Amino acid sequence: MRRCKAVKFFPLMWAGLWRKKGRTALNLVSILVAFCLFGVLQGMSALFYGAGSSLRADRLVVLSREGGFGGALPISYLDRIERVPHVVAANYRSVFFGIYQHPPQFATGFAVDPHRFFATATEYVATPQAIADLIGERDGMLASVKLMQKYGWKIGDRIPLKHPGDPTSGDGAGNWSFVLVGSFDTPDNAPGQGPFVFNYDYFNQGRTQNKGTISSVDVRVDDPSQAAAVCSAIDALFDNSPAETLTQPFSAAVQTSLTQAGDLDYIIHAVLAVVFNALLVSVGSVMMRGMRDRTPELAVLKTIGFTDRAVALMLIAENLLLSLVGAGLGLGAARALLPVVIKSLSLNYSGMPSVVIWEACVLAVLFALAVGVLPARRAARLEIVDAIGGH
Amino acid sequence: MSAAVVLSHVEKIYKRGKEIINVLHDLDLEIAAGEFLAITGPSGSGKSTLLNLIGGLDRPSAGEIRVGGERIDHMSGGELAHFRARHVGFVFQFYNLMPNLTAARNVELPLLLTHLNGAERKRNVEVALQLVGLSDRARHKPSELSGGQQQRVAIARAIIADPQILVCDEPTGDLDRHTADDILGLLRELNEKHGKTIVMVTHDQKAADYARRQIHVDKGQLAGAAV
Repeated sequence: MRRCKAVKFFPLMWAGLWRKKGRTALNLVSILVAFCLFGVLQGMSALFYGAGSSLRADRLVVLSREGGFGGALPISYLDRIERVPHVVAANYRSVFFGIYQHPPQFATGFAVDPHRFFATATEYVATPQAIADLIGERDGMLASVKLMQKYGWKIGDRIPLKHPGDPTSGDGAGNWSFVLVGSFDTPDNAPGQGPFVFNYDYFNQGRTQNKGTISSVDVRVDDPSQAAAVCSAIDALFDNSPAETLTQPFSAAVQTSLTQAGDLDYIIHAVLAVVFNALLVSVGSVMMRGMRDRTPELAVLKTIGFTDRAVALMLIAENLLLSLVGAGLGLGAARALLPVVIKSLSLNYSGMPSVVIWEACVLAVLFALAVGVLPARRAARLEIVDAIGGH
Repeated sequence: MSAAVVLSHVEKIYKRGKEIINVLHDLDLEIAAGEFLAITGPSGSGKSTLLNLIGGLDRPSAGEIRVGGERIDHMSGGELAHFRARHVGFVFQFYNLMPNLTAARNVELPLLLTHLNGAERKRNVEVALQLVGLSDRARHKPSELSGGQQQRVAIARAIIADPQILVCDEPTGDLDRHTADDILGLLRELNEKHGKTIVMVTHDQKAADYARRQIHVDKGQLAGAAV
């Protein structure tokens, strides 16, 4: 016996779907817009958070337990951290939030020991000559290639930056001046425009707040499987001190920082929850109305031998078809929009993450089931003699 | 001639709130294979209910119904659906075609439940449309067809799976006299040339006259046989 193939029902489902063209088009557009929004927001989130996850597992960061990335730790901690077993390299940085010319032209800098910094933060790649040039120029800076391109900086330029975080630093009014002596590369998928780095001594001398402190210590361990033990060992060193530490893998710290900065994930999920709930109500009610309009036709299908189950499955399949087509078109639109949105946020676009596509597929199926189950159930329960017209 | 349909002591009761309506009571009826039977009677007499029971669209409250030798009064909903697909073709007063399917796709519907492949289904559809004289309207949608043509499409759909019985509920109720005569002529042809057993409910005595036997239902009982 030849197998009954579901594909032969496709014209019937397709015709049922387009029975009311305006209504179906409206539903399709609603689904398209919702999935476009889903693709853009989830894509943004995945690219944003994915930036931190690309960091190596052997990298840890020591922060102030109280202030996180914005906190301050005594620079003397560095020696003690370097002596912890499994720590093979350590480096410190102080964060400098600068304004170039006027807001919102921001530039983030790290005041560092150049040798230590580039040895530990291996995602930043500078030539030995550039590092030597930075060390040789007290007020020198190395900028990421992306930052230089953004503001049109050239090597040899004197770069003025305002540091509002310490308004009496630099020249006494928060103004700092750097000589651009070279550049370095940042990872392709790193978020933002990339930082600049400069000499810690120059920074420490010119600032009026938190002198002798650093924002964080970057640590590299010899064995990533020992990372958790090293974190505990470092934090134990400074327990009950005035500046307790919080040590964690670098990727986790970056993501925590991003989450704290904007609570992006929460906002994205809240927006999507509102959008999909509204979609569920609007499309669901239209589907119910559509099912009521089609009652005589569904009754005819039952009359000629379609079982209750077959009619219900057909309605669910129609919803699935509509949902998947809408989701596909929406993701297509998101794919076109995402690079624009990502670039406007100064992030790097590396393609729509595949996880977003899979999530959208699952969501489309769940959505089709959610809006289709009730009409399908009613259709299955339809009594032919009550439903068929003309009596 | 063997019996295509046998109803024994059939009762049908509907409940509306606290009210109990006895639509059919203790009804016995035998319809021979190859017969063309007209069921007449006033509105609310129970003739459509009787037709629904014969077609397996509804189940009796009591009694026994056999169609083509199969007892259908105890069948489940799913079993009845399969029974209808194999043994019964339906023709309604208002045609009940799918508005956005072409005539050919409408006729094809019952064949979707068979194991025929696309080519076989297409061939059968062509034959059925030819039989009802609508080969040239295969690609037309119902809205592009006249009432008589729509009813012909409905008849083609009813016979496509080669059922033993055609159940027709007021098949000419929505048509003018001339078109009604055409449709009734077609039904008689299906009965006489193709041996289909036809059970037709009608208000129209002229339509009933096309049948070889008529029965009258009144107040849920057979009032007697004429002709």
